[in-house]
Amino acid sequence: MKNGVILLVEDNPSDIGLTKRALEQNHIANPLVIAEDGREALDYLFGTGTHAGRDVRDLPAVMLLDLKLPKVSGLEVLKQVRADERTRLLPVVILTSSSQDMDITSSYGLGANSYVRKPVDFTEFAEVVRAVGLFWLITNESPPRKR
Amino acid sequence: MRSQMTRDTMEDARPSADEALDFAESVINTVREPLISLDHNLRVVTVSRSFYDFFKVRPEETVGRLIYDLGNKQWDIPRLRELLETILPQRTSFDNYEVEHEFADIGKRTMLLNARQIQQGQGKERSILLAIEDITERKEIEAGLEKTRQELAVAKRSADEALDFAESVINTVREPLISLDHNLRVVTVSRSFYDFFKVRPEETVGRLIYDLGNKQWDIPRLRELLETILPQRTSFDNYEVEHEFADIGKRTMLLNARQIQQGQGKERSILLAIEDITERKEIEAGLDDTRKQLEAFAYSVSHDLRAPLRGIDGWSLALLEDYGDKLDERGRGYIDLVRSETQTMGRLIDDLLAFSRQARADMNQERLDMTAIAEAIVYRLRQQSPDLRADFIIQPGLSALGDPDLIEIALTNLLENAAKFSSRSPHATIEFGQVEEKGSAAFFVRDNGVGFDMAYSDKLFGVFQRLHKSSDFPGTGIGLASVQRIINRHGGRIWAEAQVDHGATFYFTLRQAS
Repeated sequence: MKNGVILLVEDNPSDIGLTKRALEQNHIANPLVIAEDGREALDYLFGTGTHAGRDVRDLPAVMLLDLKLPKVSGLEVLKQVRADERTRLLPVVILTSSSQDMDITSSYGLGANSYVRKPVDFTEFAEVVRAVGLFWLITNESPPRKR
Repeated sequence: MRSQMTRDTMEDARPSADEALDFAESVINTVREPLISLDHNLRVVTVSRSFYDFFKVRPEETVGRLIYDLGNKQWDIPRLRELLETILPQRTSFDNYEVEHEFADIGKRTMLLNARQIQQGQGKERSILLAIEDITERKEIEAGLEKTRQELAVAKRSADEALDFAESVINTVREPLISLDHNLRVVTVSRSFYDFFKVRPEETVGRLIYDLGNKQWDIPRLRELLETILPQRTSFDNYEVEHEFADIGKRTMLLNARQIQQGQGKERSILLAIEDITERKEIEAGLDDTRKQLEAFAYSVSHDLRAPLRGIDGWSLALLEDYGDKLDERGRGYIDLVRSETQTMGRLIDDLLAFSRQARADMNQERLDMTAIAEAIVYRLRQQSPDLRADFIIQPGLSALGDPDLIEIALTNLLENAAKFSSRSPHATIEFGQVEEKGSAAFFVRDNGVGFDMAYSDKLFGVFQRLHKSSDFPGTGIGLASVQRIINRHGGRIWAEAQVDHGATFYFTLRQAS
């Protein structure tokens, strides 16, 4: 298993805990980085703010991005990620409670790689996390690291 | 006139009796009017050529005969007898005696008879001269003229009535109305126009429309309608004009305009109906705001209310998984209950969201293959619940007009319900088809399940209304409310018939695809 970082952008502590639990239960041991708002996610990706000095060439294996976030919204994060040459190819999975057509359309329009709705049932949620992790961390071939 | 002249001429010709007789004969044969003279026994003495021509009789069957016997007794006319036997013995002349008679050869004729008694010498018997004028054609023309005159009078009366009616219509309708001549000068104005725009008749009628109310009506959009659009078409509806009036403030108006030609060759005039939609527009704008707020609310519901539910479910499961050995059977049962309630609430939120979306969703009307839609739904139901044992009977060839997404939601709800409420029947059968109900074609979904008590049928389609205990048949109570809303949005009706333990049938109507 490749040991790429999973960047989880999520502000709900309960959802963070559940995601961690689901990852553990499915034996996905990749390092988990948590950003609790959109600003923090962008700081991590671009090596700014609290993450100043981070080598931005180390792209996460996948970013699990919620849409409704404090400060900078998920869609805005996605837009900036796709607009920057350094992060343009980062695999982004929208993981959200919303199933509004508008959100789904906007997400794909801005270049999301997939859109997953978080089920209320934890068993189903754990299954979704497992499937997402399996696909993006193992099945999928990540873009090559920039020099 | 002519017979008068004849008599004068005859009197002037007195000098010689023979000459006079010859002259009289030639006069008789010259005039176009049929003339006949009778002796005192009413036998024919002299006959003009025109008489023979006109009545198609020959001299040999005429002269010497009793007048009534002429032409096979055709001349035995009561009115003529009256003239000859009653009137003339009392007076020497009678003019314009009208006789109408049906003759075998020449048809129905109207004649004016001028009669003179003549005494051709002292002591001699009197003889009678009859001048016959055929006025049949004249009468017909006169009758035609009279008819035309009456028709004209009727037409004028109805025109007057129509005008009166138009005036009263103009003054009755709430909508301000104004009519303009081809120079765009005001001709007629409704009372509501004066009321609404706060202008007086003396400053309105005869004025150019743009000059009304201190040139307040000089509106570019109105100029466009009157000068550019109307010359090219005879009518224009729902032309929206927004304008700030000095007296009544900013108004949004819908104009309906008609060009009217009030007679051949006359100049066209224009009728303008003005509907004030200012308030309507404001209400619409308000509704739009409300709708947006509702959408924002629905968004929050979908996102924010679901997140804690996932927490409750996830952490109670975590409790069960990590500390299950520290709980007894009952404790673990409680956790199961927490989780199943959470699921119910999640479904409720989803159904509510779907319900509010169905009210707002745009609708497309297209031809739907109802049979294919039903078959696809049944296929999906079987995929989702492998233990579904019901037999489905779907009538082939069904079609309707509707929105494919919404109708599929409605039909899914009905078929799912049918499957749910017949799940305990030993031989569950669910039918989808079409029947003739109350004069129109209605679709139906019928099951042989538990049915329901018709006493509660009014609650069937209410939001959150349930006729069965959750422990018997789970559900959120939104499904049928959704179905009803969808059918109603399509202009259709939905109703149900059921009997406890004998199944239920849901009927709904949709417009037929042509």
